[in-house]
Amino acid sequence: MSYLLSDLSRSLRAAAARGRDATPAPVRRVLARPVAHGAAMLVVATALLALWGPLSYNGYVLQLVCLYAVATLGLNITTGYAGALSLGQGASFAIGAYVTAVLVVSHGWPIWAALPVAALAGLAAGALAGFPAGRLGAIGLAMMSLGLMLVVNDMLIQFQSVTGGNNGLSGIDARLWFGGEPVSTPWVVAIVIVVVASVSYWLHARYRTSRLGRATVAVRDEPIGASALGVSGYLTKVVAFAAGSALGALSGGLFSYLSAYISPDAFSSNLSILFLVMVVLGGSGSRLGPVVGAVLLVLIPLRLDEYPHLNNLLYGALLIVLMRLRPRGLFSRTAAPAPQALRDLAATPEVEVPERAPGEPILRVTDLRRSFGGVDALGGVSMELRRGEIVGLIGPNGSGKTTLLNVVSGHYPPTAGRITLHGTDLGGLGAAAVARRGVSRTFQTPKTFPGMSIEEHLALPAVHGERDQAMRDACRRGALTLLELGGLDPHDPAAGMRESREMSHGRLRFLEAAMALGTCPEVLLLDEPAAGLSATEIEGFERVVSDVAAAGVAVVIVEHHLDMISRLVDRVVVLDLGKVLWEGDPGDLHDVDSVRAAYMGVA
Amino acid sequence: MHEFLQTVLVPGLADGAIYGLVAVGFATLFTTTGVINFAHGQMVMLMSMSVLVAVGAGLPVWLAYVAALAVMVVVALTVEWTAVRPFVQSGQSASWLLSTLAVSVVLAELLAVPYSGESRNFTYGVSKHRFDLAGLAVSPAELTAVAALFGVAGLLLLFYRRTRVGLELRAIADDLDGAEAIGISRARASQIATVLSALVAAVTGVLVASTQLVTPSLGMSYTFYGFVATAIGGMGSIGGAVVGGLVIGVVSQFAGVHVGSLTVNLTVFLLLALVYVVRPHGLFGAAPVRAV
Repeated sequence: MSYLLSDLSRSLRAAAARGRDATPAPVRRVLARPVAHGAAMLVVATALLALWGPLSYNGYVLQLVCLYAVATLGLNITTGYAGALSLGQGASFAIGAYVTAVLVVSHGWPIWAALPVAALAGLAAGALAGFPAGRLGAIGLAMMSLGLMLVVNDMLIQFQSVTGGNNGLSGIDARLWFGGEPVSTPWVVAIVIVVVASVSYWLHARYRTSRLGRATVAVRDEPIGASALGVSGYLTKVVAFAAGSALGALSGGLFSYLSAYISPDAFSSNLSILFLVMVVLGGSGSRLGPVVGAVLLVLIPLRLDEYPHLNNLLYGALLIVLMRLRPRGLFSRTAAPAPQALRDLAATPEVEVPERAPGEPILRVTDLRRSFGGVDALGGVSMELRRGEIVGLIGPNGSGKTTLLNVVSGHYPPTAGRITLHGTDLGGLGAAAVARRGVSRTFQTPKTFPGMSIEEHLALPAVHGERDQAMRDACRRGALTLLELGGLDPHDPAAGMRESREMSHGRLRFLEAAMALGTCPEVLLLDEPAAGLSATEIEGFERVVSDVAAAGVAVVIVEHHLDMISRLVDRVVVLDLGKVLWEGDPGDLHDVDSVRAAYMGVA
Repeated sequence: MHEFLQTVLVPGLADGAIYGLVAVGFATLFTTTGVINFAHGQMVMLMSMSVLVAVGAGLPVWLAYVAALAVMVVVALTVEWTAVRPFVQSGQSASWLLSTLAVSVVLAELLAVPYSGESRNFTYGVSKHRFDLAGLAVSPAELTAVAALFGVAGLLLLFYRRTRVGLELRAIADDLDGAEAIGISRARASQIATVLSALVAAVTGVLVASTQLVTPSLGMSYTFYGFVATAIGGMGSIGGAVVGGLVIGVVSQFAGVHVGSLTVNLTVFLLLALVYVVRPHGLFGAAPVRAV
């Protein structure tokens, strides 16, 4: 099964690559746009509809595929892009179906008004469920959405004066005006379904390539790394929940029109799971995958409909097999293009590097303390950092170097003490807020985003606040040099489209540092940047750090590589057991007895 | 007051004991493997249904119980192999959520095959005939449910603290690589935890069948209620599971009697939302100390 699936996807990918190479570049650019895919879907579906007629069995199946695809695309926003597993897409579907049915049957609303209201109802329900759920991990979200499913099913029966209870609602006809006569042709509903499906595809693909979508995927892949770039996670999850639920409700509204009769039986909890299997089979987080999943899982079960129980057993078994053998689905690529970021970077002009001259103090840490349980990782650290200065932070393992970076960058709140940037207090701000004020950092193990393309990594960081042009140029130049050091040619668009999960550790280190420079920080914190790099790479890295410092970026560098420290830094701070042991010129470091004692245990 | 005790507290505590047992079953698997088994509610129903089917096939009741337990162990080991072991302490919650959910779908569908999924009366468990106890009508089944909750929780706590195997399971939970490095088998630990959790499900299944009609489609609801109990108590805490279960039992019974039976799920859902807003790590759970 696994071979079959991976063979299938490999040959699909190979065919796509052959097709790509055979088309001229401008055509390729147009074809890569989501709007082209959406238009192609619209043309194909309309042609098939014209061929079969909307009332034929094939025509009905086509409409069913289209409307299920809408719910599946919505779930892909929630589960694929945001990584929030939702067991409640069936609930949104039911809400949309009933809102539409009630508006049409009891109030005679036209189709163009009923469907948007259904989508809005889904949006509201999704936002409501996502609001507390935005703080939760995957498990909490899954359970909240499961609960919502159970509740919605109860409520359909509870409010029977509105919903018709177990009897359901019938006579859901398409109208063109409030209180008008139902239209007699089935073409109206059929065309609406096909158009909505194509537009939904386009919206869902645009969501992914928008700034919000990129942030959403970054938070899914690596929330801590995202927060270090100033991207906060809470809102991306809530918005994804709401948007996904809106599409689910829209799909339910279309279902109402297609069936003309609905009852609670049509909305069992298996429906939610069906949508989930469609997304996972197609490829959660990919743009085309969910459509394929919806097509397959509408067509195959229709063939098995005559055997009871078989369909649900098939969904379950398929999901088990997928999770064991191909958890990322048929279309496993989740990266999206962001060519502008790479183009901008490649176009950065050469800059004149001024002489390094540390300026006025900008970051001040006063008596900073941080304890974990009974351990005082930081026992009162005070230091200051000047504009354009490079400070080396060294000390034995467990001396509190990384904790100091984590507290300054807002990843841990301080237990006591003050951190000020330009005189304003940073203590108590979250990591994303600290990053937006101009403090950027890297981590010991690079925190990059495995499911995103290199281009997207570079498009993610944004510059917040005022920076002079020389500093911006220096940061961009530095980022470009880092990419080149990491073996990435910024003029090669194919390289920019690779997913970072395929890259080696060393390259990710350069990519992460390039992202940190992408925010053009006032303060740059580097946590063991040289670990695992070759001598030439270290040399290149040093030059970049030195150049951006010369342009005014203040740098703190935690490193065990003492040669690098003595070549690069203006000042060394030695930490031991959470306190500053010594501070001074790197040239004097080896002559200090207390430092030697801390490192080597001899006086 | 007597009215409240009789219509809310007694049945509420009995139901709550069952939700608590579901939550204890979750905790048993979760502490060792870091996996919450979404199919646990189906495992509970599987026990009741297996006994029913075995007796229906003509087996004597004691043999039916033996057969049902054998089914539980075999199914548990299969579930462990397909849906739990690949994700032991992996931190990838989306993966095991989906894999155990898939198992739940399969089990739910299989449970709907005998008797076409209709409710059945179960007369082979603890008696549900009520007698008078200090002025309240209670059944042996209800008393047994509450006793079983505390008994099972107590035994498990002893097992984790006093036996070598229990200690090994906790070691796997604390540090998978470290535990494997000193020779504790991840596969065996995961198997033991899954079978233990299935045995808790077996006890729960008998009690569910003894206190109410056996409705095979209720598996997912038990999973949800048990999870809300877990969320109230705190993930992986057995004591928390006991408290959480009893709280939900009484609250949902109160809603069912005084508001309406269709508002029970809603009440439990709102309770879950409240817990997440007020105390996201539950009463006895702790927020992780280090994240970066």
